[in-house]
Amino acid sequence: MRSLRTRLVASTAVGAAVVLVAAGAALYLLVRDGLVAQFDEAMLDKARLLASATEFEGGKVDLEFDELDMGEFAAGGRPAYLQVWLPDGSVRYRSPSLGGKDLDRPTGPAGEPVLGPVVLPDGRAGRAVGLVFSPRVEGGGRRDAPGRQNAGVPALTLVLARHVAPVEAMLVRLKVLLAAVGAVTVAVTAGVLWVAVRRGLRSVDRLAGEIGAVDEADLARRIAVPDVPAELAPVVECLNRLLVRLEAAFERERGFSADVAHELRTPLAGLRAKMEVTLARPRKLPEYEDVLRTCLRITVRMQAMVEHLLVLVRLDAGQIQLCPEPVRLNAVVRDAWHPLAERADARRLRLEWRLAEHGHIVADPALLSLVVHNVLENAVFHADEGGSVVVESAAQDEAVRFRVVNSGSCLTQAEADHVFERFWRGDGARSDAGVHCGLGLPLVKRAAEALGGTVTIRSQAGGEFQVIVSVPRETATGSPAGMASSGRSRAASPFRSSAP
Amino acid sequence: MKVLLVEDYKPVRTSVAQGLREAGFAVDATGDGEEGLWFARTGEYDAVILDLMLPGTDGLTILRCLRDDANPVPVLVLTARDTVRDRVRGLELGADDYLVKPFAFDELLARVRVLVRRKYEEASPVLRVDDLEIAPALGTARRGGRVLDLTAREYAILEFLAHRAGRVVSRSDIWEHVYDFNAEPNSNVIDVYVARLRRRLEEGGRSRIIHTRRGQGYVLGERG
Repeated sequence: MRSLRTRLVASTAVGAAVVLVAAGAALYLLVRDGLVAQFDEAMLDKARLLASATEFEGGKVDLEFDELDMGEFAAGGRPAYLQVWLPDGSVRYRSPSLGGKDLDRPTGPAGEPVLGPVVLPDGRAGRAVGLVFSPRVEGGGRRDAPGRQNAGVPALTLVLARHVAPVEAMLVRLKVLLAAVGAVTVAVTAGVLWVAVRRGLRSVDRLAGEIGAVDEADLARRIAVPDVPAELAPVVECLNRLLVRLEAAFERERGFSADVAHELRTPLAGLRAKMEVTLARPRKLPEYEDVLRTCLRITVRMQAMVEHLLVLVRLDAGQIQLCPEPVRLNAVVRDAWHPLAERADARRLRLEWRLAEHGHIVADPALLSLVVHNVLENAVFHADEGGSVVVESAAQDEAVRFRVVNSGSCLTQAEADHVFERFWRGDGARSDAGVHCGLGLPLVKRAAEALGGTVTIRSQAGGEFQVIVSVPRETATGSPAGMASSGRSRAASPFRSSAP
Repeated sequence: MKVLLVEDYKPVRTSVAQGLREAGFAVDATGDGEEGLWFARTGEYDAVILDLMLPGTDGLTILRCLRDDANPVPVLVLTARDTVRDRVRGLELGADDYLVKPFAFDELLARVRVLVRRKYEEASPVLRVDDLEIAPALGTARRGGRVLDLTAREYAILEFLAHRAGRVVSRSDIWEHVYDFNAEPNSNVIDVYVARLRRRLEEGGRSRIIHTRRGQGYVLGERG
């Protein structure tokens, strides 16, 4: 695992080291050149001084060095060297420090002084200045520039050499100093960075701890890191938003499971209580028949509910494979009405059919039938006794519309907006728990969506309750439910709920 | 003993009411929350069985209203919701017991009996008055070790008197606790039942155990 801290610190240290080495080298070269130039300047000054102390008098070169400080040219110690040649190459002067040895006589054109490194007679490194000059002519004006030689005045060559040891020593000290400063700077930078990054990352550790403490059983918890760095704040914020969404999803899921449990337990409790109480003592035959009929009714409703649930869950999971084929909506409506007719008669409902001819549509017949059946069933069960039900179909450009209106709605539009929530029931429906499990219209909505259609509810308390289903003429291919094959044959399809 | 049953799911309501009646309880049953609250506020109940999900006024609201009225009637909450949160909420609001659907009817019965016993602050499941022993769990009464042959109504009156042994119980009290809301009030009926009870209790020349207090009512066990 690569450590962010190690990488950060290492790269910073390397970067700092490169910068420092470059800067140190530049500084070193600058200082060295400066020192050498200074050194050379001093040497040149001395050479010029010596040159000016040279006279030409009466055809004879006269060195008046005695008036100058010639201590450095003495033998022993760390001497400087001085040698003067006459034009013919013969040595005119040799400093005592030379001890008979020679310096290199510079060659080349006379004029500018020649400066450069040399190996000194004692074998050490030094620098020398070579100067070709005309001595001062005593009594006859000034020494001229070497270019304009007076006749008879010889051009002397003077070489002055000095040890560079003092300069070198200083340069070594400089090198050591620069290296030390560089090393300390890199080390301090790395150290400070190491600590700072660790401090900074401590909130990452705390954040990790907080995230680790998030438990799926308690999603109400929010991640709170004190003094969270600005860079991490968006992460924390995103995580908290994620937690909010997760909590909502879990809550929905939990609420749904609780609802499922509740809705299944209630009829189960009815079955169990009925049977236990009945079996507690011997009864007459009609009593048993009565209880059995009640139990059967409860069982049929439970079965319908379980099937509704199954279809819903499968639609949600995309496990229902649609098989679109040409169907006639009106035929589906008539088929779906069949099992409801008796119930509608029993409730003395006035029916009005307004089925317009609209040709074929291409849709999954089972799913379409499920939608139609549930919408009709809802109307038959919720219309007021002796009320009216209008069943209407109409063709539109790209869709067909199926509308069912029943009288005696007890829901306001605001309440009706809840009908697509699973297990939601108007208070009126609740007293007859088990008959309307609160899954019919949610299923209609989900199934209509799978068919590419829409469902709209309009309701007026004490007035009409309308369900408007709009289905496209051609179900779009690649339907949302086409993910996995359910592998079920049409006959075994759970779509059509049993008629109550 | 009289029980109020508030449950909106008809199969559960009818069969629990039937089972309770057959076990000797008087039962008022309703499927509506508001009606349930009205019953609970106006009637004399030894226990209330309350479903939480009700149309109109839900069970928790009824419970809160009763406790706000300082009504101490024991309440058994009956619900299909079984999360700890739901249970805790019910108990915090003053429910005395909790039963999750689906339940065994015998367990419901046993729990209701415990609630009734607790109401009369009895520790023992068997009520003893002199040589009379009543076991509400079994619905039986013995005198001197011999089981008495009682009808459900006779037994109900005897058990009610036994719960209040030594205290004077008025006819209307007996009526309130032994008869349903639907029964026609008739205090003569109580006298008739008490007379029959005495006959059973005094079989074999045993001493009188239900005494009449003129103008007040009856008292079980206390002589004179």
